[in-house]
Amino acid sequence: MKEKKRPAVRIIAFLMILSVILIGFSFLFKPKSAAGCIADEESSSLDYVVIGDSECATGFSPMELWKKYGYVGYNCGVAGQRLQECYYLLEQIFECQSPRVVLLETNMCFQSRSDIRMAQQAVDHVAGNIVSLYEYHDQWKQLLFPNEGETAARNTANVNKGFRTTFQVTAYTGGNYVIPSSDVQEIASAQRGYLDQIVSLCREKGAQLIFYSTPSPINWTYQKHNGLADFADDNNIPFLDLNLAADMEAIDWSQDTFDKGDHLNFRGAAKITQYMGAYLSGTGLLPDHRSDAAYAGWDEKLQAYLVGTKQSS
Amino acid sequence: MQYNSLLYLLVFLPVVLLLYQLLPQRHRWKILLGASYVFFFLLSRKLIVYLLLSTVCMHYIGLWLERCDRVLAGQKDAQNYHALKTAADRKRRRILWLGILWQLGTLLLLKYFNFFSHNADALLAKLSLPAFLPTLKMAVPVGISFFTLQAISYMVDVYKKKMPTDENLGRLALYMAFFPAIMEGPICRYGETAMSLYEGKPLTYQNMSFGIQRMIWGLFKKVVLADRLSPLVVLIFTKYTQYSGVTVLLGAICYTLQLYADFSGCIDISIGAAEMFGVRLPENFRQPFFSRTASEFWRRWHITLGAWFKDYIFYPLSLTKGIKRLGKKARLKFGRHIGPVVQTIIPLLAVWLSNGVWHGAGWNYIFFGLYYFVLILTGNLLEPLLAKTYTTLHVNRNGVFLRVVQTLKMAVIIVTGELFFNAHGLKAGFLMLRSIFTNFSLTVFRDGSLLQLGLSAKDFAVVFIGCLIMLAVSIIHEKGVHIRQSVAQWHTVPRWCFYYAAILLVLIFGAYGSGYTPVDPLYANF
Amino acid sequence: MNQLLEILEDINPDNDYLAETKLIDRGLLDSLSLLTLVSEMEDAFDVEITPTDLIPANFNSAVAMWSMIQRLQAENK
Repeated sequence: MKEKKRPAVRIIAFLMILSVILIGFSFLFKPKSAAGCIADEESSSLDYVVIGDSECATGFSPMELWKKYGYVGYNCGVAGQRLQECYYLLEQIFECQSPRVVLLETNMCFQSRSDIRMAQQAVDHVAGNIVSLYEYHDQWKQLLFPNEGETAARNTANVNKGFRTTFQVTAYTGGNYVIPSSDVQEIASAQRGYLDQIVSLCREKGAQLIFYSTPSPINWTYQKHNGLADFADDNNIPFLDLNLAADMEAIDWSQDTFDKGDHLNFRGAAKITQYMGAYLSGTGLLPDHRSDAAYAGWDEKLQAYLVGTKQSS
Repeated sequence: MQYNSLLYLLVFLPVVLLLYQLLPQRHRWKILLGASYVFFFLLSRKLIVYLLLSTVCMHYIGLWLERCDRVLAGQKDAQNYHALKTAADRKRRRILWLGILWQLGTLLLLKYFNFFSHNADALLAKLSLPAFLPTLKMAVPVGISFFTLQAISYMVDVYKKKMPTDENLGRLALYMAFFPAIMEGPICRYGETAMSLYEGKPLTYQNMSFGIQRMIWGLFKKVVLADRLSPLVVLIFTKYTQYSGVTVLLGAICYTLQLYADFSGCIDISIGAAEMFGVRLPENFRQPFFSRTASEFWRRWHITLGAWFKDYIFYPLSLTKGIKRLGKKARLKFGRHIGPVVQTIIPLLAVWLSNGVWHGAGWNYIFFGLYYFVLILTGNLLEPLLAKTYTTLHVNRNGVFLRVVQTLKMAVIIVTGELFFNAHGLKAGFLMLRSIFTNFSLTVFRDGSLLQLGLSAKDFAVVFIGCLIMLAVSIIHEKGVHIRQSVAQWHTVPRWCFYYAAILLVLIFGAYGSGYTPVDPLYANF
Repeated sequence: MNQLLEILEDINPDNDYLAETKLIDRGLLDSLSLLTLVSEMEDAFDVEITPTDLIPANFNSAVAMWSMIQRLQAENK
């Protein structure tokens, strides 16, 4: 029982061995290839990414840009995502991809979460950075069953390049929602903090950050627009508010939304994507990869995409 | 802040432990109280007012009761002492009722007003009368169902002179707000926990080690088992019309497992955290699925709630004059076995209605309470008959065969009860129950539709193995073995390997992080 | 006291009432037995047992019960 007399030594020894075990397992669990950070896209293959919440996920179709301009990118929108999580996601994206353009859908800027939940996420994020086992613990599924990828689900996601396609129509009947106002709804300080971090992360990585707002009578107001325009101005970020874009093919609210003006369906998303494509081609920031042999896979996916979206049979 | 979040486990708790240890013993309770109020404030913000009011109310009721006694004691030699005592008793009873009404009133107003106004208005509408009761939008502070019961038990115990009034408001406040138990209990009794909370015992190696182990076990149940089952349960209970009988049955079984793993897991985390501070909270579960009767189930499941209802509703009601008279008549008429059972009908009904209503404002909860009322009452009534039958048939009441039959019977009873408990309304409960019998087809096992419920084959495997571990631990506990003490006797190498394995098991197979939605503790909403 | 022991034996003969001091705490008397016990005590000793008297301290042992009965009898006079 001599050992019981020096608990401090024993506790330290216990913790040291624990750290070694955690480091070992972290090494084992960290995904080997960078692929997998955005579905199974090759690392460093994408030129742009779109980030945001469900407004983004359902409202932007990268395949349309490939078809028309040969731009390669991915819709990384996550339903219900907040700026904080979006920032963490972007950090992760930059680990395996080096996009030249980051398109940020702005609806997240006005979605808040309780302080306690944000603090919880921040702690989780730090823990994941220190002990990657915490972040990649679910890899046991791949480690124990290496041959059994959930390929089917993944492939459909990849055909659409992250775009969540919906064809349903449930009309918005509320009439004109663009009511000019000079009032400003400021971005709350917690959200602003993460927005600042996203701005500086993009600068550091040499990516052009572009804000855009998906048309949505349910979520959008002129006051929010003013708040965003102020922020974009202060930070020299291009800001495209598609609720106000007169030169865009107008959204037909009886046809282009699947949930009464909250989100867009495929028809609406196609209009958004066309408009953004025209804008991007004007900037000359993105190269055309259509004749690039390394991107031959995109053409195969495009055929599947066209069938899936009923543009060809 | 969830008990299973890193923010709580690796930031909040260690900071509190450190501050606690740094302070001299007599000030330590202040750290616990401060931490508890911070914890409460973070969760419920200004609703902390309700906790404060509740605490101050019980404090003054206690003081008032004590003053009555002092006044009476001073008049001991008076000639009309008997009359004075009667008057004082009446006054004390009124004071107690005032306190109870205050506490219950707040709870009822916050949790049940809308249920009441809703149903009253619906009734008025049926009678073609105009509805007049409004629907109020009220935020409910965390843990109010739990701390209200603690306040009432304190006042009643002081009234019954089970213990003296506590003049220390700080100690009462800590008893009411102690952060490890504020969200989901266990429901404490003042006489059992208040003093050890206030004592400020120094941290010891043994308490820390045992406390952490208990918390890891709780995390295993909550994060590995309960949270992994959550998507399947949510899906089946919301879209029950789309599934066949087997799937609905699977949903009910999985919910029962999830509820047990979630609730008992969170309680383990609570008891473990308290243990680190040298505070022993009451146990809330004792292998409930090994029960042989419905009433035994409630002595093993959510023990502190059952005990509260027994002590503060069942006995007091059973011993009121009217009911005692009823019991005497019944004994004369029905004999010594049935007589007492008849005496308990009204108190039992009150207990089970309260139990149902306590869980929430919904007819399915009331049904859930009445369901157990009927089961327990029938069990009590049939007991003499059963005993006779077993003796005539020479069945050993402790034999293996009977145990198996009784355990299976209880499994059916428990799962059915939890199905109604979690159903989205009473009607949904009946529809689900009906579909189990009318829409029963085994094809789901062949066509792979079980894997469309939000859980992959790997998830099912984790759940299955996790349940086996839970079962093994339950059997060991049932045999009376204290696992942590036995492990402490092991040699260092196997012992540490055991600890590391436990930590890794939770870390790797936990259903948390990307791809999983965080699940709030299920009982925090009751 | 003997009369009390007889009542107890009658209700549940499995317990050793002279030695056991934790009848309630250890759950040796269930709620139905306890209620039977209370009403039989009331009949046998002509006392009234109220909810206030129903605390473990009064029922944990035969001795405790006996002293409660004597106290109640004294108060009645």
